[in-house]
Amino acid sequence: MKLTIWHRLFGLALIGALSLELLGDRTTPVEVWDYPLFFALMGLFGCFILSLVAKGIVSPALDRPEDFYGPEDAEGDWTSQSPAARADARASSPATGTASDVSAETSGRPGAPTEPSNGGEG
Amino acid sequence: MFGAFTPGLILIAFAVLLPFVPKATRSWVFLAAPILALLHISGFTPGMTTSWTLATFELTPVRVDPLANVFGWIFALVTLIGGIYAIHLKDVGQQSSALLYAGSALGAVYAGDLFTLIFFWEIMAFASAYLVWARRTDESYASAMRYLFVHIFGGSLLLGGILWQISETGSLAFNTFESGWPAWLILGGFAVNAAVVPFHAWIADAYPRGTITGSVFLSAFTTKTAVYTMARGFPGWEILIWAGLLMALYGVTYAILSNDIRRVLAYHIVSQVGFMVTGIGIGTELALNGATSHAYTHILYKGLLFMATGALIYATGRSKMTELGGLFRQTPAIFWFYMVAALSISSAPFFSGFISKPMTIAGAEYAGTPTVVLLLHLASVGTFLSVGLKLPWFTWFGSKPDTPVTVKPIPWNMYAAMGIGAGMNIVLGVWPAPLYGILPYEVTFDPYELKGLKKGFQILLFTGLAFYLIVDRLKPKPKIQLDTDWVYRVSKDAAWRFMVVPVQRVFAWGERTSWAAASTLARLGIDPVSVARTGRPGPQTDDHRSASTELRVPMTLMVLISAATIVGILVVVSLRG
Amino acid sequence: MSQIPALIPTSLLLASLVALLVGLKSHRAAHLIALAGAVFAFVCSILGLQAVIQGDGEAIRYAMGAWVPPIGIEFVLDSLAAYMVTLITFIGVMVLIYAPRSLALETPGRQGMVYPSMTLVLAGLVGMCLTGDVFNLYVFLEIAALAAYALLAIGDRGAPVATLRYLLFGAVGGGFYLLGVAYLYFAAGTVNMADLSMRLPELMESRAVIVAAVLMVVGLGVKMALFPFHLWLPDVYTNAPSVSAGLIAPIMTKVSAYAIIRLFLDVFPPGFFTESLPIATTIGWVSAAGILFGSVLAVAQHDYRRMLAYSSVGQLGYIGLGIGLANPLGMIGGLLHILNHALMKGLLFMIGGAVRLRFGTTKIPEYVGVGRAMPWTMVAFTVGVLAMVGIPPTAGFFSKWYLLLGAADAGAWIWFAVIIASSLLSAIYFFRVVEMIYRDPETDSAVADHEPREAGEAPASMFWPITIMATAVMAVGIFNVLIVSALLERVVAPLGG
Repeated sequence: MKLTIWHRLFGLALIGALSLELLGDRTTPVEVWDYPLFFALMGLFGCFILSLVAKGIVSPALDRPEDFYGPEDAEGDWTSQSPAARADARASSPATGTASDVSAETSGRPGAPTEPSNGGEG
Repeated sequence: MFGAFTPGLILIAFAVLLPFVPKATRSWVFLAAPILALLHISGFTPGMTTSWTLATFELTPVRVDPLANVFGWIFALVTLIGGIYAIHLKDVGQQSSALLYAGSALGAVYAGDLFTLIFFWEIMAFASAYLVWARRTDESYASAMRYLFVHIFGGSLLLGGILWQISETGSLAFNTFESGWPAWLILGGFAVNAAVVPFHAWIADAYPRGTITGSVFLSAFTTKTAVYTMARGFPGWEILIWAGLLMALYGVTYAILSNDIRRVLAYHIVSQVGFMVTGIGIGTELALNGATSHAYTHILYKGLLFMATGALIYATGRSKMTELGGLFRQTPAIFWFYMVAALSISSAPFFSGFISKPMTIAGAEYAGTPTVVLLLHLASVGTFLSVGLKLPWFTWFGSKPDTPVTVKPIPWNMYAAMGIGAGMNIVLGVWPAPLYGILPYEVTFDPYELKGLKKGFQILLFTGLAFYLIVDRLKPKPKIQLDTDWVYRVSKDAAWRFMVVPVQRVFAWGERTSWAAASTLARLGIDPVSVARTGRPGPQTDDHRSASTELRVPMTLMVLISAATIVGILVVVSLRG
Repeated sequence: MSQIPALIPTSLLLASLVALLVGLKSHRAAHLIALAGAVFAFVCSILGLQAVIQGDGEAIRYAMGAWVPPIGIEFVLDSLAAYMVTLITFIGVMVLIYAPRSLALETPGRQGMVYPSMTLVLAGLVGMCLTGDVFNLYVFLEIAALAAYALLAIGDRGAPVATLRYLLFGAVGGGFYLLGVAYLYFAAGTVNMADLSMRLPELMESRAVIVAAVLMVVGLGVKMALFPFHLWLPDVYTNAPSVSAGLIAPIMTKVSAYAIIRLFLDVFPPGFFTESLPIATTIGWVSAAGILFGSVLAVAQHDYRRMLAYSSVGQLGYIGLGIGLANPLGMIGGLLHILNHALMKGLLFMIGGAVRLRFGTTKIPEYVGVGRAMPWTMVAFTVGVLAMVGIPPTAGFFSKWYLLLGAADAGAWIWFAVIIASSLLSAIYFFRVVEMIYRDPETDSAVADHEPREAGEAPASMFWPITIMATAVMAVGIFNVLIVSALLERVVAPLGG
């Protein structure tokens, strides 16, 4: 594995964080989180545990395809066409060739009442 | 300013006027509303109230105290920032509803009585639903409907509880509640809006489906208003501690698994609000301060998160991590803004989350509940993992998607808004005094003790290390996870068939049977002699109209009703006489 | 000023007569006469309302023909009557403005008969509210009913049968009421309301009085479509022309409810309806059943008007519940709901007529795309829907508030839950329509190709009444509490509020 500058910087940061343990008052640890290195270990193992639970237990049990509740054409579909223009394209494409497809997609519904918003943006 | 009227009214007034303003200046006029509201709020001193007698009711539409003020300030501020973010927007429907929504949230927060509260609460539900609906895709319509129903349901719980409460106590005042049935109903109503598990699914359903500018507003108000009302009404209720913990861990787990970037953020709201709810449940001054300051900073950094992800969606036309990746070179600015927010939400030192969330955890420490403390820390780890590491990594770094992404330029106002948001997060992070000064209780907590810095750096850096080690295991998948909304979504038909149709059938059967019985009686009565002789009812009419359209049927029915009435009267009279 | 109680009904009767004669020649003239009569009556009502409020609720009495009551018939304008009469004439004016285009579409050629019938209905209803005599109430009840039958029978194909059914029910109901009046007269020797209220306390135990009360309430209950006497309502409202539905649905059944309330509060002694006989509780329970019944069945309907009809059965139940609660808050809620529901339902029926004009349909699944074609009308519709569900600051919220408070006060938790459940159900069946109208017709492949008959917004004569009604729904909502304090609290004073 190539040790890039990023790797080196990160390693330095880790060491720096650990060295904060050496500063500060040495009171006797009362609760579990007063013990040295507790938070480093919490970060490391907490991440492992959460990932394990999430990916190992929750995911297999509850994962479903994105269209589980029905055709989810909207979530993730942010093309700038308004639904009206899209439907136009759908309607006109079987009958004619590609040229009218393009024009249908970009022109929007002919003679449409002025619709104040473009649903895809903003 | 002139008397203490509720600042929300300013925003609502603008919401009504906005459609009449010329299109070109609308977005700018929009900004005037929160600015005026901020000016108005700056004139508030704690202890100010406005009373109003309406018929027999003593209303207190405005009640100013430190708790309300914290929320008032941040609500107005985020409306301003969101407004800047939306300058490019041309849809007056969204602009008006955003103002209506923000205005009613402000109204609810300053409400001193339960009537004012529910008044604005219900308006919030509708105004915010519009922001989801305004996406105008089939999914968004459906999602907005579900959102509305959930909120009407919650609103009904709240209304029921409030009226019961008024009936029992005779007072409309909105203060801490005594335990009892009405209080539980009210808590239920608040819980729905706060996205307490299991009533939380609407957030993950609706927020990702809102418009780009709309979701920024959505993320700010509904849940935080509920946090405010819980802090006001139910501080120290122990059940909230456990509810909050459940939310914190549940939300983070789903956030780790979600694919759509705004869905990650939505689930994450559940988690963050869980922290606040736990703080309210603990109920000590430190914990309440923590919950309040957390709400304040959360609005700032969640808003920025939604702004940044919204900008990314605007630029790329995609919102799923499986379809994004390697975008750093093309959208560096958005990335840096996002990271400011992500570091804030993870309580990284020098960012706004660092001065607020640790206060809640400290509150848990002093209240002597180690389990709570540990679980909260675990949830914090998950926060950084889902929002601070996984989302940005797979969006801006990682492998590029199969279909290349074309990046559209983003309007200047989005950058401006994000810049302001980022700036505020950093400034608050290094200089918490202004926020601490307006918190409800005196603040003796110092986040920048060595202990705190150590905690902050270690947790983050070592979570980062763990992420680096298992990054391939955490790749996003194009999947959703089942959640409690399955109950009412599994199939609209099934729910329909199961719940509505049987009741309907019973009633419809009742109707049909009464007509049919009358019809049979009528036929019997046509020719009683032949019935007596042959034992069969008289002839049917020739045309096969349904029983209800024959005339003899209503006649028979009326005879029956008359007879029944007369008999009834005789019974009544003889019983009494 | 003291003439007002007489002016209101007589102006409407006069307008009917003149409109009928003039209508033989010209529909438009008949319309104008009818409208003029209604406007005049409305203005008088407003003046009367003002006078009553300023007079601290003191009633204005007018003895017909200067015959002194209790022999003579007197008309009384007190807080409750003023409230009802203003509402009735307001709706009358709105529907009359709205009428021409709708009638031209749905009942062409009959306008010459329709306009006078409309004012006759109004005359009958205001007469019922103003009269101070229980027998006279019957007279006006029948006037209104007969004119209403005429208006309702000219609708769709099922209208004549539905109306005949209504007639049968109504005749029996009216008959019961009349019988009750007769018993009352035998027992008390008078039919004047004020006089009765003085004489009845001693006669409370008398069988005749008890029978009379039950008969009168049952009779009025039939006309009010109190469950289970509501069977006539759905078919009638579904098949009626939009104008008739718009006029009759908001006010006809309400006035019968008013009559029951009047008997409860001002004629029979206090406590009669609650302690002596459990009339109020019975009304309450059947109303609760009616609320659930109406709300649940409304969900299943595909025809807009039928859905509104079942919804009305449910909403009338709210008023019945208010009576049933028999405490000041509940009664205020019921009375408020009379006003609020009249406005909301009138608005919704009018919109249905406008959509029928432009789109040629009343089936909900075919409402797709209406939102785009008629944006402002649909804004009004949204206001109406918000009001029906009970969202502040619309009118529907406040009547719900008072009713729920009344139920909580009385400890009637089942009724409390019923009201809340029904508003959730209202949300379901109304939002279905909202969803339909705002859907994008192009992306909806499930919709049969439905070209608008005439594209565009509702015509001005329909648009303005719709807009005014929608504004009224909002404004009345905001001013609901003022209405309560200025008028209704005095009305429910006999309950010891």
